[in-house]
Amino acid sequence: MMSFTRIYKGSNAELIAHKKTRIITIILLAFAGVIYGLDTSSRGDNVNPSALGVFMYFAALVPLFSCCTAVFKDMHDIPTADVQMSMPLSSAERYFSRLLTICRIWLIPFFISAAGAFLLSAMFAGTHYSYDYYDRMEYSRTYHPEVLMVYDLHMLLWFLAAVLFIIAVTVVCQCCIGAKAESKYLPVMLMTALSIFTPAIYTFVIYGFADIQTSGEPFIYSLWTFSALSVDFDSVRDTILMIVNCLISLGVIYCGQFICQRRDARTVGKPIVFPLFFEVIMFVTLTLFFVLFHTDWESFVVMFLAWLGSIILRIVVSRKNFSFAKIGIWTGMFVGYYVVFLLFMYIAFLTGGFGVISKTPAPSEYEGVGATIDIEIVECRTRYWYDGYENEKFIDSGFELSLFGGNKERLQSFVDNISRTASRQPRINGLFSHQMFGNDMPSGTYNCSVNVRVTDEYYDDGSYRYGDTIYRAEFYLDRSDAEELAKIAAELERGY
Amino acid sequence: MIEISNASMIFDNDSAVRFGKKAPEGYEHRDKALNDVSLTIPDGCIYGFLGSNGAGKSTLMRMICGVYKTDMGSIKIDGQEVYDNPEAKKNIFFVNDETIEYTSYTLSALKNYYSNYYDTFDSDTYNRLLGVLKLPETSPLSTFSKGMKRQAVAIIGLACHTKYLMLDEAFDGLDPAMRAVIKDMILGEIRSRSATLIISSHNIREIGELCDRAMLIHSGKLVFADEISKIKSRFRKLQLASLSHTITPEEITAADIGIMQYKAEGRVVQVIVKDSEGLDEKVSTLGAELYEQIPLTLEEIFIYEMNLKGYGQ
Repeated sequence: MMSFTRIYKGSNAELIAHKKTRIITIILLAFAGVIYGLDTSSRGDNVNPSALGVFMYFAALVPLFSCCTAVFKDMHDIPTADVQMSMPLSSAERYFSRLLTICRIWLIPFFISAAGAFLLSAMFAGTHYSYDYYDRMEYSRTYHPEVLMVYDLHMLLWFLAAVLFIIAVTVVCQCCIGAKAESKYLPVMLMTALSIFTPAIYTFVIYGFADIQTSGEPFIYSLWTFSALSVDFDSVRDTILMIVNCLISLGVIYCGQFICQRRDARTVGKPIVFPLFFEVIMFVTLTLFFVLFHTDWESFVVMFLAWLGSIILRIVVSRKNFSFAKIGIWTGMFVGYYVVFLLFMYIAFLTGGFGVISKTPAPSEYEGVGATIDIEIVECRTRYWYDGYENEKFIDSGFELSLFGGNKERLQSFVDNISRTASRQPRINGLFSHQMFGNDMPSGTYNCSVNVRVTDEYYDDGSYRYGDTIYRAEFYLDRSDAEELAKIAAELERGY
Repeated sequence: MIEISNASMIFDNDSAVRFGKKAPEGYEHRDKALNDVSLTIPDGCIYGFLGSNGAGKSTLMRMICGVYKTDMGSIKIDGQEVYDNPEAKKNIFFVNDETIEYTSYTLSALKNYYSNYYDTFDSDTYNRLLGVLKLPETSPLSTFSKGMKRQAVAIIGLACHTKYLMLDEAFDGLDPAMRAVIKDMILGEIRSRSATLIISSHNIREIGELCDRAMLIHSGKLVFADEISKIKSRFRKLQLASLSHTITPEEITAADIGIMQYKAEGRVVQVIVKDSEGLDEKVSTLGAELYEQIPLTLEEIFIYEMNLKGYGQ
């Protein structure tokens, strides 16, 4: 039976052990809160957060990482393991006492700092100083508390998602790693890889093969990454995403105890306690490299560097168990990961990016005064687009369309037509090879790219304000479809 | 009472390399750091763990305090399985053979640290022992000598008032004068509370002087474990001489006397024997004109036992 008293007392003891980290954290967070609160400005509906304040909050993430590795020192330091594992705590209690220590060293000061920052910003953010004709200072207040409060809450949630992500990845790494060096660099490596992984998969795999992108990014774009990648504070979806990110991190942190319970001091000193965990890190990192650098045969230099990096990392991690024969096995694993990646990409190609992206925008997205449509259909006979003289262009057109008098429906029908044609695109190996490695396109295949952007407002002086790009597509088609689409596009442009 | 029943533990191969041991036959890829050890440590005794380097003393201590999990068998403190069990672990305090983990603390911080973990921590005992040893309370332990760190940890260990105190290489790094002071201090505290002390040391004479009971472990296997007086009574050095001939090892074995070591100088034979029961009667069949029995010290027993196991040869 877990005892909270023991957990709390264990955490009290650990606070003594990590006094310096606590002091540094409190100083950084206190200054971050004060600077953010005083330097954040607000005018009407606009809030300009303090860049220095935000920077200091980010600086405070360094002691957070340091704290997460230090409180789990018993996982990678034999004398500390002797002391801590002999203490009257169960392994689960020990795990939760460490988490409570992290809360008390970092999270509680952070919430206090954030509350202080909100209070100060509420007091000063709407105050604007200026000088009158006689050089006398005067100030005015345009304070919109609800705007500032919503903004600050978004900011808190956004930062909290990043904080919990760091804690989750670092703590799980501590539970799976038994050596000090690995407990520092592998979490950093994994956090970086995970943060780039979902956007990279979305951009290069899903969108790359889905051929069609409607406005906005899909939900997974910022799923369990540093939330800094998604800062659209106005979007309800992003708020939900941050909450989901926080929940995933909390789930991962909770599950960490089960890994922790499987360890005794025997595994302390072993760089990697659970080999599968290391392979997950390798798989994520290498897949990321493959996804980012697969597009050209020249990227083999990068592939070689990835192989070299993976071998060096494995040599470091294997310590004295290294033998030259293992390089062959590791190379085989590298090739294996690449084959898995190719299969993954081929399935993405066959299924049009796993079919996760909706093919057409919602009717509400056509709201605006006009739209700009760019369409290009080309038969590309070489791998390089700039060898234009080799290419046969069917259509290369950009035109504006008023969205009044039934044009909205016509544009919607045009977009539906494009999507239908895209769904019929040939899924042949030649195209896969072209998309993966930039080989020549198979003969008789055409590339079509379409971009539709709404215009929000026209001004009297002839200028206008662009809205969102609501539809973007790039896909391959055969000659008859190319001719058909060129005809439809020309009709839309002429207004028929 | 601490009951260890058929306890075994396996290190991974790479750990075995670190411990400088060779994997036994059948365990080429795995190495048993402890092999089927059964032992009972009664309450209120002072128990000495003896063994060569890497024999498994520290491993056994770590298993007793729940740092290592037993792969086979069980270790119980007062009837409760110790691993991952705070109720059993609150009765035991373990000091390992290193003090490096304490260097960032001051003695007063160390007191606060342990008092959070052990409800039985007694500040009066701490203050009293600190008064005896006169250690600086507010200086970091990194400024202490090795011996001073040992003293500091001993104060903390005794102040925790646990039923069992385990000290690995207890008096390592202490000068002879301080060794005596610390020994008296520990023994006084332990006896006044009828607590149990388990110590390991390479100084066998010290173990012999301090302990009521001892055990010897070699290559993870228990060689013997008993009250020290009984252990000593089982081993004898015999000096035999016959005027007619030199008594040979075969004759001694034929008289059902277990030989650990045999040495002859002329007609005088010196034999180390184990299992001294009925020794006089057995020796009488050898026809020795001169016969003398000398008891062995614990240190001699250790050396002869280890020689018998091929240690150091």
